[in-house]
Amino acid sequence: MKRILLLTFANLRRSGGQNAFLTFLITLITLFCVLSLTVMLGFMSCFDKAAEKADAPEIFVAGQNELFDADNKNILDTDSRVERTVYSDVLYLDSAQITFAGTKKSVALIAMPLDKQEYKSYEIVEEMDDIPENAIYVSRYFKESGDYELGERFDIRYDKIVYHFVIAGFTEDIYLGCVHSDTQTGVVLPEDDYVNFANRFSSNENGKVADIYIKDKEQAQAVMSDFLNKAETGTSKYCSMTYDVCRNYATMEPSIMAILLLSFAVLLLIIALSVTVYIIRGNLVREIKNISILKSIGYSSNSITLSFALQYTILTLIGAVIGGILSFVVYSKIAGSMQSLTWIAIKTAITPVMPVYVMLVIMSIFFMVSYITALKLRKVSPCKAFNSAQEQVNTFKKDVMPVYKSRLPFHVSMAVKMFFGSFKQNLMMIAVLAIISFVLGYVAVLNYNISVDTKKFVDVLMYEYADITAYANPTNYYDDLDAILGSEEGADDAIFFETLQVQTGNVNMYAYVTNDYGRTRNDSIVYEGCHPSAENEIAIGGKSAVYFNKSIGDTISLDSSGNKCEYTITGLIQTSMDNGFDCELTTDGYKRINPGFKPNTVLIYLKENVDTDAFLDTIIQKHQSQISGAVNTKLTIEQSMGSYVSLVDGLLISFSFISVVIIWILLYLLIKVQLRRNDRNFRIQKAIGFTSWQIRLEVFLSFVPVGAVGAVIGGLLIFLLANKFSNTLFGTMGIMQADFIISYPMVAAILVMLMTVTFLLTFIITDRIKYIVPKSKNML
Amino acid sequence: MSTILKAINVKKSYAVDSRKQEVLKGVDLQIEKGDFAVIMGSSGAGKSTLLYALSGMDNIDSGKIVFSNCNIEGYSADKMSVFRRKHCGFVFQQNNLLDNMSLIDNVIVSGMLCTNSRKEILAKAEKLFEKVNISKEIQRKFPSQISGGEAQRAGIVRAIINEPDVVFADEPTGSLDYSNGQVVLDLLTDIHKSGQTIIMVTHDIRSAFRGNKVIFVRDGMVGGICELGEYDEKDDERKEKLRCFLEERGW
Ligand SMILES: Nc1ncnc2c1ncn2[C@@H]1O[C@H](COP(=O)(O)OP(=O)(O)OP(=O)(O)O)[C@@H](O)[C@H]1O
Ligand SMILES: [Mg+2]
Repeated sequence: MKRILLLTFANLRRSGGQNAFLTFLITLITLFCVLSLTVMLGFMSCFDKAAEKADAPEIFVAGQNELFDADNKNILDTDSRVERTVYSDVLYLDSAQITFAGTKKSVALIAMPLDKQEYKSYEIVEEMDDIPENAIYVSRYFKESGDYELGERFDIRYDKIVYHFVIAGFTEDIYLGCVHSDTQTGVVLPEDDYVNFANRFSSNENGKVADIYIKDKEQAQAVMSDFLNKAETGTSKYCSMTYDVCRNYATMEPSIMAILLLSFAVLLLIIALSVTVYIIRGNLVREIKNISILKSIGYSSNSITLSFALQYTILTLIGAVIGGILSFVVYSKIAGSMQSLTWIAIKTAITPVMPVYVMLVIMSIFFMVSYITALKLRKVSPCKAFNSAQEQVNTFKKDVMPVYKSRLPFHVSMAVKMFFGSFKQNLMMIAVLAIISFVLGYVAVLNYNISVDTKKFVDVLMYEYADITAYANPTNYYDDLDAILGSEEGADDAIFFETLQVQTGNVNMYAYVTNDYGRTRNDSIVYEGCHPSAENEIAIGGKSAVYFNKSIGDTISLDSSGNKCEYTITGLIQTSMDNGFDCELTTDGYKRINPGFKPNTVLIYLKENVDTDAFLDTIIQKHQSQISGAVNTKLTIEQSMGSYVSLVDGLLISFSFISVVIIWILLYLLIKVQLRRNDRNFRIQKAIGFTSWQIRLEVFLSFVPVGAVGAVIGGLLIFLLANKFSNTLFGTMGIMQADFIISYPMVAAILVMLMTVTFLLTFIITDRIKYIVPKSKNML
Repeated sequence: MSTILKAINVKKSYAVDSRKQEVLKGVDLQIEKGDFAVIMGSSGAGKSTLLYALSGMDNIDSGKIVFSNCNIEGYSADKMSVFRRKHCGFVFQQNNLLDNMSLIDNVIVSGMLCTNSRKEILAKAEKLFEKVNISKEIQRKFPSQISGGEAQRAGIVRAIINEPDVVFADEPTGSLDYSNGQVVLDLLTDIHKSGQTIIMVTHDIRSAFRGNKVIFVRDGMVGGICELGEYDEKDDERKEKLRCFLEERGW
């Protein structure tokens, strides 16, 4: 072992630049792995801990009182899988509207009195000193991501009435902290305020929260489905959630960041491994003399191989330790912004086990790869030490394009020889360049879609939206409000477009309802098949299609208000809003289950270059009696996308920066290795009269196919895989087919740029050829 | 007879760890056209260093080298390369062929530096290979697939393909056995007879007999020159003369 270490350190001392680069790469890989795994696992386990502390139930059901009549309660009481159920009296406001980060959200709002009911899983984490009038406590998520502060106004719009509150404090709660469009959101009021608030509603809004504790966690989904199946729900509104679903909602955005980071780390790992293999092969050639001498004096192949492998394992160790330490520093900086993406204070830190674990995995990968690569030196025979010392590990046997036959210009045929002489290395280099061009190209595609041409990105993330959304006045209702607004000066078109709730079996789904889908503008929603056009047709969310095991042509039955109807599936849709549980119906189609339905929301599309705010003012004044309100949707979307976009943007900018740095160093190293491999031949060439320029030209020409093919393959990968890659990344959000725009000129520009960088760099680095002197102790 | 190569007060030193070691301390010598000059001397005397200096492979600190009426000591590396391809041929101690090409390509590559006619060079190379007894089959092999003797003979073909003014050889038989060594020496003698100027470094007296002039290098200077006359295998007087010359200088 001592002998091996001796060799190892002798080797390590020699190639400083390469070692530094590999260490740098491994530092990044470790850093990214630790961060992403910490976020992915840490956030979940932290959420688990918070849930445990709050004694959160496995199933949460909230709804109007009807849902919890004696019969239905009995279902739970007699279910042997249920341990206990705790009921709390609350106000249940179905489809209440609140504003979150500038966006109006429709949620099932659950209000409860402070300290006065069974439900105690919330905790007040921040509170004003003097409790104001109309005080309300809301989830800390409103502060972290929703742009609210203590003492600010908080409005709840319910059944056309807006209720004003003042935020007196922030709470933390597992189930009620959620602020997603199709889920429940909880608020807490001081007892007096609660009573006042409750008095403004009929008994219809009186509801309950049921915390269902079960014995076997795995059974949560089944127990919940069984209950909702058996229960006579009648017309009562309710919402339900299992713990796992809740946790998914809570950790979704940080998880996406983490997945992005992790995939980047994996790409870096591939690059680092390729570079290692490349360098070891280069070194084997350089070290051949030393290796044969070591063998001749009695070192075994195994100990020499081990010393090579150990060399890279030691580098990995150093890189991983630095990366591990860095991850603590970096994490403390980014933890804040990551945590603002969820509603539980994530007090997670990096566990010391994590970096150690990551380190061990990376180290063993590197050990294995470098050991296997170095196994090649077994072929070196010790007698090489004494006779012709400069035998190559790669002994050339096949004469590719012999110069004496070649019709190509002399230097081109020399370059061809050089290219095939290091064919395997060149293939590897092509692969590395292809990966780099893919990463860069992909980053550019994302950047383009998120920052430059954002329509596609917004389309993919949203359902139908227009410039302005107007709400009909129910007391002065016009059936043709869409036509009235659409004929306004500046308007291009206006349609009734409603988002409603329906049920299939016991699963809640959002239903988008409009007359004619031909007039909608978001082409990204249907990703397979087509929109419904007849009253018995439906398009459903891709995720729900998988969940219900349905495909195009099948039928699905919906119910609402006790009516049940069958629909034929004509298409699959994708929106990120509802985690994929949604569907599209025509207005007539929806009227089959809800005959009294009158659409209420009008989307107004404006002509180009029309001032949205001015138009808004005009219609609000002109149609005062017909509409109850209107909002600038574009602005709202921009605001709500803002934080998300800036986060992704920041991530991408740092990615591209790191990519570019890596390309430069990588090319530098790879070309250097290439020069070293050919060092002996270059010396001989110089001796027989080649000038530096001639050799440089040959090296340069031999790199042209490498740079070009690498970039072209990278480009092809972008076209073939970029959207598949996006689908994997965004799949968790319910996006099945992110058809991001891949701008041909942009990708072409990137590839040309990359090639130029490759060639320029090759040209600059090959300048060192002039330092190769023909004479050397080695040669003569 | 005309002088083809002339060294005047050539000095060269190496710096190792900031310590300067003077290797050539003022060498003066003159090689005539058609000479087969042999450089001898003890190990470390500076023979190889002198050869590099004369052939323009390495620059010198001071002095003058006049090669084919050119002052080459001030040439830049690239100018020197261009000079070498026309005026110098090299036979090295070890197989120093480009390992990524066949023997024939090794020769062609050298030849293509001086002409653009691949055909012409190919014909010439094949004739020379025939002369050194390397078959077509072996010509297509790679350096890793041939014997040391074959490699050295191919090296000679490469050295003379461009009809250089001087062929430089540094212990060309150093890594060969006796009989292979003789073949190589015979070849060098052959091309010498056809008028080729050769400068060869050797340790071996039997190799040195081949020359018409032996230059003894000692302590970084020329320590004596022995004019032997043309090589004749049976001429014992010549052998004696060289033996005495070397003995006098402590060989
Ligand atoms: N590149 C170099 N750097 C430093 N010192 C050198 C270098 N090359 C040669 N020397 C030194 O110069 C001296 C002469 O070397 P040279 O190779 O010319 O000897 P030589 O006469 O050819 O010996 P040999 O017969 O053993 O080949 C030696 O002492 C050697 O150590
Ligand atoms: Mg020598």
